[in-house]
Amino acid sequence: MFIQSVLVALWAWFNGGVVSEYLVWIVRGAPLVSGTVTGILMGDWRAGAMIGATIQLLYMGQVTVGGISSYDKCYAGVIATAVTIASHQTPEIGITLAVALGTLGLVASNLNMTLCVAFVHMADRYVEEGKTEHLWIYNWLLPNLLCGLLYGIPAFLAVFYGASYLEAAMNQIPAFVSQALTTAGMILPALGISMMFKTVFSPKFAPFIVVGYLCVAYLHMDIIACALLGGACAVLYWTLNLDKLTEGGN
Amino acid sequence: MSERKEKKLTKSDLLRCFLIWETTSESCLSYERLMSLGFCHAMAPIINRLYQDKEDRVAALKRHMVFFNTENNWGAFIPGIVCSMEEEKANGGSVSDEMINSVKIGLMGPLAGIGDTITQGLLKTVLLAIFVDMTLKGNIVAPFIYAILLGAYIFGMGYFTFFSGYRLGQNVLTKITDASIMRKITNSLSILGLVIAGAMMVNNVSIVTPLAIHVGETSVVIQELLDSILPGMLSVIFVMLCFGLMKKNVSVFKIMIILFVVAVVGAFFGIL
Repeated sequence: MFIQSVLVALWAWFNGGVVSEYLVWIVRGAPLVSGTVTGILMGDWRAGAMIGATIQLLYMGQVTVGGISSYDKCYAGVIATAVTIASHQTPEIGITLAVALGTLGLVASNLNMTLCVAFVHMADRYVEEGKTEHLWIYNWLLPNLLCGLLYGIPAFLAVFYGASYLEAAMNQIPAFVSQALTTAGMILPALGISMMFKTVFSPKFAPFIVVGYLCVAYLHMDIIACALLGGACAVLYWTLNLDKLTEGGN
Repeated sequence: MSERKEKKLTKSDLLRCFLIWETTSESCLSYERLMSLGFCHAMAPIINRLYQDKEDRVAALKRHMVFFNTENNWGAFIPGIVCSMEEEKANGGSVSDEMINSVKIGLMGPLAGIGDTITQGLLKTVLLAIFVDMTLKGNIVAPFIYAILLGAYIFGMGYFTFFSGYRLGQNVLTKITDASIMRKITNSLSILGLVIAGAMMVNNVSIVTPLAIHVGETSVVIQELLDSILPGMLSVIFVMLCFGLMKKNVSVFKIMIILFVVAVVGAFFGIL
């Protein structure tokens, strides 16, 4: 367990900080990916993928503007998945954990963005000399070291110590409470899908919701088929220049 | 007699600027100035090439330490265009500090808006929808296919916008941000997104009730009754309720609390 905890801590560090902006774009806000990798590090690829994908449902359509988010992506994606696997819980419990940890993690993201102010001021003084060689220390090294404290160490503690407590607690609590947590896990994806609605919604295209609904509810098509159908509609809109007809709205 | 440029940025300077941007532009994201230090750092290879005097270097570095924030894939256009402006300035062109600043400030908002809407809001969401579903159906390689596709898009988009910014300057921007083309792109993606969201509403949300009414010998299972009216009715209702609350500007956090309360009450009475 020690080695897994260390691996997850390193992975959490990578997800929480920005070692590489480009790579972080792929994992940040995508528990689907960060959870799957967490699963692989914990030795259970399948569980990681399932838990990550379930947590993803909750955060569907989340858009982060100006670095401000309603949850911390690393805590909700990596740490929640790791703790869920380590304490042998279901994905439904995992999604509830993701809500709790994701909210708690906002402390870490806020501290990160606050303390980074100090590094910017250090860089301010450094550029007064007109040099650029050490800019990377202030811009990259120090913030990432800070993220080790804010993400890596909590991840290690949560997996190495927290998981066994959680498992014991989950075995102790009354059936009613665990039932309520599972029910919450069942309902929460509705919020994720509605966030997705909010990002793609446009009143004049609302009937397309019914198209998608019909495809699954009555025709039992899978999502790829729906995506192809939606893609065909989108291309038709483009090639037939239907935007000329819908001029005026957005 | 053609005007000979004395200080010319090489391809490798530009590539280094782009790679630093792609690596560290949000490493030191601070509440005070957001991406300022990231931008300044990315400009380091450019400043090293163009300015030798200490005063010029200090001035250039300070110029790029000011508040800056954008979406860094579509927004890669901005360091691109600033590279070409700095190059002109270093060669004695009529580019003032104010011009560079106003280009940065003028572009960062619109490009962040476009980038956030198209990359995060539409494209990423649609891709995630497809691959989350594949994963939940048991294909555990699907997350990595998502990673490769999104990665290719992000790198391609960043590279394209950065070098278009440098080569074509502001001219291309009128093309990129042309309102009618942008509306066409967002509308098309919106159609695709809505079809998928409508599908996911019943495919990936499965809210069911264990309720049953017993009348004498016969019992009516409520879930079967609901499904015969409209399959996945409870899921649709919950999604629409959340969406309605969101439209009323209720925060995501509050909606979460409401859902938790509903879950606890529902579980207690055996309704959900």
